[in-house]
Amino acid sequence: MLKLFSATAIFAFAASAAFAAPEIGAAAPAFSGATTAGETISLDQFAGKNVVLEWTNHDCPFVVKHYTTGNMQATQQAAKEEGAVWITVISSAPGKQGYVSAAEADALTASRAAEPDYVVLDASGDIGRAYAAKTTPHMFVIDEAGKLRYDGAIDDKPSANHATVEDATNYLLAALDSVVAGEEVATARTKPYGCSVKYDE
Amino acid sequence: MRRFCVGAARACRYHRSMRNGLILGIAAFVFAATAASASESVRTDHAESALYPVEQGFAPGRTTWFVFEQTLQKGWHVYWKNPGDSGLPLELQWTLPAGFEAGAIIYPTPEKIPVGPLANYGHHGAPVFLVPVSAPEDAVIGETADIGLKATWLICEEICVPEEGAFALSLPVEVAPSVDEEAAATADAARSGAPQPFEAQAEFSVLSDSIVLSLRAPDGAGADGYFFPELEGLIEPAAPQRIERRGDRLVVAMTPGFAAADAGEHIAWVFGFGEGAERKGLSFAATRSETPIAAPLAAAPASATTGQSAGGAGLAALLFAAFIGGVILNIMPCVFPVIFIKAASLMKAAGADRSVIRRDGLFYAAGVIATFAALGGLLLALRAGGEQLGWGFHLQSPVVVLVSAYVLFLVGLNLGGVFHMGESLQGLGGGLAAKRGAAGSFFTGMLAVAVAAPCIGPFLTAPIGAAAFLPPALGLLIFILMGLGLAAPYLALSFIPRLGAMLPKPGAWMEVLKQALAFPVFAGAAFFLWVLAQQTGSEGLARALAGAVLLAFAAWLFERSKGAGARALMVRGAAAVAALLAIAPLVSLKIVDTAQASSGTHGGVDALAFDPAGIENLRAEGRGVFVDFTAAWCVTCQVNKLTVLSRADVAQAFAAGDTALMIADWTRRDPVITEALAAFGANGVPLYVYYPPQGEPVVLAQPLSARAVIEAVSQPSKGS
Repeated sequence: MLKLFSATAIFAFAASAAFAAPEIGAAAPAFSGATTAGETISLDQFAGKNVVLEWTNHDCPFVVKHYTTGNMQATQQAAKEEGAVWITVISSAPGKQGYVSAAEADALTASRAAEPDYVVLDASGDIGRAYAAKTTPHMFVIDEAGKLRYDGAIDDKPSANHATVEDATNYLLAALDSVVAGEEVATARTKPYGCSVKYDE
Repeated sequence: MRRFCVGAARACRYHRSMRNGLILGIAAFVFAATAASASESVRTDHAESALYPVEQGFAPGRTTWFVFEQTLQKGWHVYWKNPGDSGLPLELQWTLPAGFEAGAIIYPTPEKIPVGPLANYGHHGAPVFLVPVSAPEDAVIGETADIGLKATWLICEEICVPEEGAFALSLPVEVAPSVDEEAAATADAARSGAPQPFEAQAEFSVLSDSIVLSLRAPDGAGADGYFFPELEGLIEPAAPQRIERRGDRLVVAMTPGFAAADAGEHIAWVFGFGEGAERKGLSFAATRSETPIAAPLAAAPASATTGQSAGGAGLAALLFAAFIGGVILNIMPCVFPVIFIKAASLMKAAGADRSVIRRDGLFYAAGVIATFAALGGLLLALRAGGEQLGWGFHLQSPVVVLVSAYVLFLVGLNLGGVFHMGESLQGLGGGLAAKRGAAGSFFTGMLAVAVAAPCIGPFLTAPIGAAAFLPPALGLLIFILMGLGLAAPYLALSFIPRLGAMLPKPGAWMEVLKQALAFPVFAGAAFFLWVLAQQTGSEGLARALAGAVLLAFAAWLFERSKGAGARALMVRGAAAVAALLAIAPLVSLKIVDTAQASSGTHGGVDALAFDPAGIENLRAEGRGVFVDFTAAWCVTCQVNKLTVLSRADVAQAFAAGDTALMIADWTRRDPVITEALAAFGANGVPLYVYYPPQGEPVVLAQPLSARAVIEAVSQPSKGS
């Protein structure tokens, strides 16, 4: 009876915290999703490589800041030079801001001269929820062993003002540098800033 | 689009709707050339924002208040200082003359704004932000102070738009600036709508799975409110908050956010409650508690999302568990002799009137239930009064322990035949006066509960633990159901003649059995004396034993004094004196801090005294920690210690896993241990908890088995 009772108590509490951030240093939540190229990719196929996840919504002013200033493209470039796989995830639900078809997503990539390795369409929001992705942008770094090493903002300037990109400290690249160098990530979790991810209600 | 509204600040404020903007804009433009600037308004796509001062100038060394008022497009919101999952707070960049300083923004009471699975903290409608700007002592009277403000805000409906506005005002430096009454009224309304400082005496704990906040319950605030932390990332904004009233305090459990581990020693909070015009906010600071605060139980009614039915089922299960636990108590070694006394009387009464038997059963049940309800009620009342107590708390008092020992000793002497108390303890035989039988039955019921207390073990920890956190009426109901359970078998015997008929026929064997049962009762008395020794040391034990000898002497004299005459009277007087001397130790018992049970060994494993900080330190070193919540007066605890924890294979498992053993000794009152127990939803001992180096602590199932302990401490540590 006692056991039954505590089990229900624990279950009730766990269920209420369903949208909980994944743990730094633990295995990153496994996922698979359809890319704009029509293929299905899954996280485990990138074992042995560092992976960057970027949540995006092209109409969000914060995303616009990073793409218009070229900051996101430069960050992608730098990450790729370090050998990381860059996956852009769009979790906007159909009818919501940022929801795009595969063709529209590819057109956006081309028009912005962005260079993600994959753009994953997550209209159900499943991947977003697994990572507790809250804002656009919201960045994650997963290391070669599949462990989550960074979760948070792209930089330390929570603002939509384009001028703030200038002297921002890029948390994502700092984390990736540490992971590549085999060091601890000094700032492994920050508060992501931006628009809320436009999940289905 | 930007427009100036100059001169009559009042006009600006009264005509701030989008529709009138253009007309007003033209009017303002016309006035711009002639009037001194005292108010400025900016219209953006989704808001209209105005800046104006309450005092129409600056006085040297004084503060002038500025109102920054926004009228937001319907359905759109701006953000509080902690914006929640996304969003940005209002940013004000002032350009002020040298020596002038702008203070912190006073925000309106925030609202929780759900956004799908996320949540933000912000403001709808027409939020008013107040900012104090102080002039330096050396500001020169007659000069003009030019004030510049660049305001940036993020405004969102579903989509978000960053907006900004620039404002410029020129105010004179005067001895006594005039106050614009409209502006002052707006500012006053904003101040009373903003969170009010509240003496909350608040504390918080960061536990692995929850952040628990405890504060003085504010008047008029219901459980519909929400606690907004100023620290971003401290809690998950979208997760429900479980608010529970505990006496005159509110205790709130929240889901920790990413920054929970970085919480310092003090956190500022706003408690927002009520709707619309009735909405109120209280601001307070909470200090990190030195001991963990027990989280409200998930099964409590406030538990939201997972559904009411689960809570209802939990409660029904709890009430059922209370009843069954009470029934099981009947066969516990502490209670059995008392039950026998009752059963014996029932057997003797086999031939008696059924109505007498039934009444006897009812009075016994009444005695049991009344005692349970009284003890439970006292416990709940004391807890509500802020005392850190749990079940068995009365046994933490040496006086209660000694009284229990003496009562059992006297019962043993009586069973053994040293003295006879008229016929009352002999039961109901021979058409006994119903009145005495009723009182005797009630007393036996009380006695059953008194001796049952140390045996309340594995089956009743959950109901008693829950009773402490449920609303008082439900808590009391749990105690009453336990009493009903304890009384149930005897009630059944009294009311169902066929069951009574199955009992063996009374005879001479009963006298023999009665005398034999004196010995388990003496064992009970000996046990209480051992507990007393733990509490009061050998000094207290010596007094108690001397008292016991005198008590036995008094009983013997009492038996000798039967009959009439002066001689009998004298002997009876001597008996009374001896009895009085016997209870003398009660007044002089002192608790000594022997601390002997706080550490020690279990079968060769060195044990540490309980220390919540020590647990975390050991876990940081990669060691698991096994905590034995125990008390000397808890029979189940002692049995588990001897039969499980002292076993060689258990000790081996501890050594193999380098597991630390910690003993939380609750023999005496200890608020730290009471809170730790409560954190696991328990309100009494025994409780066995294993803290792996990483992950969540595991509560071991009871009855405790060696296998379960070995399995728990041998498990490879898992991340949660």
